[in-house]
Amino acid sequence: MTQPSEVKPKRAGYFCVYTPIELLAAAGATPVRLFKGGDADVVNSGEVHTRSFFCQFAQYSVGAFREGDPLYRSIDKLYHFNTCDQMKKGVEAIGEFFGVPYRMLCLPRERSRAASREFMQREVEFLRRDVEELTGQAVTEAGLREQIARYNRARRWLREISELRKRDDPPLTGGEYLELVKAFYYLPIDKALAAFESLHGQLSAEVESGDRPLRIMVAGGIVADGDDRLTRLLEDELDTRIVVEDHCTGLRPFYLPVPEDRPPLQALAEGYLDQAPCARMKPLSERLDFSEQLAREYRVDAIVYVSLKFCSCYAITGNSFVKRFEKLGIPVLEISSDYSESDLGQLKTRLGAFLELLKKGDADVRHRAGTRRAAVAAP
Amino acid sequence: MTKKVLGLDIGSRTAKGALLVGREIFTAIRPTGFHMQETGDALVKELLEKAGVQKSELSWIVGTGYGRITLGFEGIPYGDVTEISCHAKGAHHLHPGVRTIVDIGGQDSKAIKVDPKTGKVAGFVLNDKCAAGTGKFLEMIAASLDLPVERLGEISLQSTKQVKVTSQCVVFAESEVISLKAQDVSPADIAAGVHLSVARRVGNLLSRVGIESDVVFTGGVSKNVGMRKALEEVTQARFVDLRLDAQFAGAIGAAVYAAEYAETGGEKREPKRKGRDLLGALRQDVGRAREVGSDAA
Amino acid sequence: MSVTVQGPVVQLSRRREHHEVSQVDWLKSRTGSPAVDRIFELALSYIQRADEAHRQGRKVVYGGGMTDAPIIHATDTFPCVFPELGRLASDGSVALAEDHFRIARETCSMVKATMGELLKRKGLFKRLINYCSLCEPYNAAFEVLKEEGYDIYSVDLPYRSEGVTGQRFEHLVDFAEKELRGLATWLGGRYDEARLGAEIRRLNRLHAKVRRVLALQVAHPDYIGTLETLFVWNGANHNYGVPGEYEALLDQLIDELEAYARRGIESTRVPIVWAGGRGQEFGLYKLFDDLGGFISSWTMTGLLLRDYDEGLSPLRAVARNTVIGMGGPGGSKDQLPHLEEAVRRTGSKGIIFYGYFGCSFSSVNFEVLKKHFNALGIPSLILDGSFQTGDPSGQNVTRLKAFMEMVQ
Repeated sequence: MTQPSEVKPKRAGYFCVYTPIELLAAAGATPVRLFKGGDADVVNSGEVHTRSFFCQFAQYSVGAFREGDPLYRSIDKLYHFNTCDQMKKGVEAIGEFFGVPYRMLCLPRERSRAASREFMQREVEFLRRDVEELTGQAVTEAGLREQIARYNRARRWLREISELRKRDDPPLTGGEYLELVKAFYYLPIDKALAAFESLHGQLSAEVESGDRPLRIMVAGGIVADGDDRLTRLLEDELDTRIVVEDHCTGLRPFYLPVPEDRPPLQALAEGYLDQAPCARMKPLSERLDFSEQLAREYRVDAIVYVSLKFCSCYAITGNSFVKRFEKLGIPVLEISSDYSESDLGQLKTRLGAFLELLKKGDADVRHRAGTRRAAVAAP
Repeated sequence: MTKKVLGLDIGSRTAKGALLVGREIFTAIRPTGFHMQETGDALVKELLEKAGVQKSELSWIVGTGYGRITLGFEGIPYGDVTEISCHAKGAHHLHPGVRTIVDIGGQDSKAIKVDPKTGKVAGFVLNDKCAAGTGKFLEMIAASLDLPVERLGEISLQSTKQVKVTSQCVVFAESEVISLKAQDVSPADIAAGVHLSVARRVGNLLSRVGIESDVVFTGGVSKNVGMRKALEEVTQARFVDLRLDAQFAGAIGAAVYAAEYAETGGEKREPKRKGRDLLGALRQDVGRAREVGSDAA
Repeated sequence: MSVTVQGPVVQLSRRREHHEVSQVDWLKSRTGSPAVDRIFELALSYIQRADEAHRQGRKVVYGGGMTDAPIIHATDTFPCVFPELGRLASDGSVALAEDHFRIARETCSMVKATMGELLKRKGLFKRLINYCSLCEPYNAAFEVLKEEGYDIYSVDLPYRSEGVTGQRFEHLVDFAEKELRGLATWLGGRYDEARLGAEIRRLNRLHAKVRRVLALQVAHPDYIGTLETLFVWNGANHNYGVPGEYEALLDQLIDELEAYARRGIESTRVPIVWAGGRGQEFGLYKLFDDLGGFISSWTMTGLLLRDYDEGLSPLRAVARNTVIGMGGPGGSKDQLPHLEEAVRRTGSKGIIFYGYFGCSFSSVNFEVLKKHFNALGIPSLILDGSFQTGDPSGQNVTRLKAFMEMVQ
């Protein structure tokens, strides 16, 4: 194969964090995560090709292509590991109605079975062949190892920066952390790496003020780029601090690295299967275990669990999540959210009342909020 | 000397105020105007006149409801508390035995569990934003029956036959109602069926906090006798009446909070983190990349 | 066997206004076809018989009995399919699921109805099979049920997206085969290759008979109506738990249909292709008959009546059909060739796409397929149906009436 020199790199789009971007990069493609959201008009546009009861994020993604978002239209090919029904059908709709080429791959759910791991590796091999065809550039083992190491470094910095939030008075807000996550997905990885490293230095040097804001974990479905209502309410208006995220646009996908001690394709298959799980994976208990671990590690006072309207995975398993934390005595507010502005007032009231329950009340109320079944769970 | 405190509940449609002077409660109500502050000022003025109290005598004001954040009163300490806490506090103040509050308003419905010792919220649930289970739902159904919504309740009491309205979406329920009409089902039976359907929804909410007596029914829809009957039927609970119109519960709760703050000095707002932006340059890069793509920039 | 036939069964006398039709009443009614009457009885008693089998110590499992049927039968397991369970479900089951599991209202009614029904039957059998990739709400629901104490085996099926053929298709089958082997082990019993092979041959024989019924019905659509036909093919794989009797009933029905055919009565019914789910809104099928239509082809039969390849190892053959028939099933345009062929073969006047409100995958499929048939000038209608038993929604009634007025 010839090395293309002056050619603009191919842009490989993806939605979910189960797409091994190292492999895309090793074939010379630019991985672009498409995770914008938060705008009801774009959702409405996407509804033309879906249905009213379709997941807001999936609808937004279809709508962004329909509305001609330049980032979305710059994509040469979409790669999608079949995470959930709605994203997979969203990708098919994008292919059908906007002529965007896509490759659909399978993602096993029962991740610890030997058959699943073997199958995943074959799927990663299919991906390799496909992206090589797209870019005309072969993936070498050395090149792939290098990409894995590079992306792992970026993941590690994001984890290290997040660790600083374990302080009583975290030197950065949850809103700021999400900005770093965007940098990981939007910027050339080396540029993001440099920024992370320098930021880590500056943030570590910040002097602790002695304050201890109420520590919140945000958990659940995707918090899209642009879907910042909840973050703003929690941090700017209600004076709490998001110290950790158990969702796929916060700390979660950076928590575990891809292993570097085995053949790279196998490492990708296993690393991506073994990452901190989405609710779409099985068994659910492993996901809840991970959430519990995060909550303990970051000493959170309370959890806001958000599922997007019509998201099957997070909406249906929400109750199991709440029950798990009730047992631990950590209060959870369960919220069903979408991208419209109309319920901002209600959302604010709901969050405000939940926090009043935590703050004003003595330990007694707080204890009850956490342990009583259904105590503070909003539908 | 008894402290004189005031609570304001600025809702999306009506604004309510309550002034506490010892055991005495003065109330006032008016439509919420375009300017929340003007509405609040007018309520304060009206209450002061009713009670014969000078503004300077007020030791605290607490606001609640939709407009609570925007208010402020010169020279008087002001704080805000959500309507959920205020409803609980107010209902408790009026009827200390209350353990569960069912509130159905125009836009939302909620169930609140009250700690009978303190009047604090022990748990709550709100409907999701869909209109089923709210006053809005009843309004739309009344419109499709050509009935004023105020009469829907009493008409439903004349029902003789149980009709099922199963659709949970306003749009579908409307078409269901229209087809029932086409089948010559009486408006009374349809109205009763609709109330039962809303009551089931709200009953689900209630079962999530766990319903315990005494139960108080508040909010605009609480005036609807048909709804009340249906809810009692679904929940198997008996509703008690407050000694004052339940729609003032939020304002009275706010006033009770004001009295507590007058004692303790109120809630100190925690300081926000000092403004500094380490992320300025990065934000710009990200902003550019998300518009056109990182290597296109 | 000599058969006397009374005449067209689907007739005006059974019309009722408002399409109110209780499912139980319907299944208890006499259709004029002795074979169908008995199949109705089997359908009515199916779940009770499953409970009874469980009490007598037989292995019973929910969720099997589709393309996996050979494995179920070969392990001496009594299959219990979700649609049949759902038929028992009332709006009470849906409310129960919403309440107990705090499941969002917008969740697909099929998922809620079965979850609620399973909860009500908690004291009975507890084994369930979850075919991953079939539907997302179910995948999540099964995890929740697991926490509730159910013994669940997840068959982790791959998704067969558009254009998957050749080597890649075989690779998906490889994975499915391993997963199905896991299922067979979980089910346990006297499973062996020879037994599985025999089951495959038996089911292929049954499929041929069901296809014969369907062909006769298309040629003479007045003898049995839409629901009657549905309940006949419905049993093709699970056999309502009584394989021998079900096959004998197919033979009997073929005789009845052939005898009716000999009478040469012309039909004026309008053929329509039905794509998507079956639903539980029996009134809709009745309305469809009353409006002078008949269903000339069902998507589901294309998936369920596919013959198992007897040239392959038995497990491989089951795996192939499972990847084709239960993989989601397949990319958005997966059913296109089947639907096109069905329209052509039967001279159908239109297509009805029937999905459950809230279904996470069928909706886009329908949009894509509708776009295609619009371009071909073949009318189609999307119905947002419900798995909840009961009368069809006013909207669906209006839509269906308008559609039939349009195509006639």
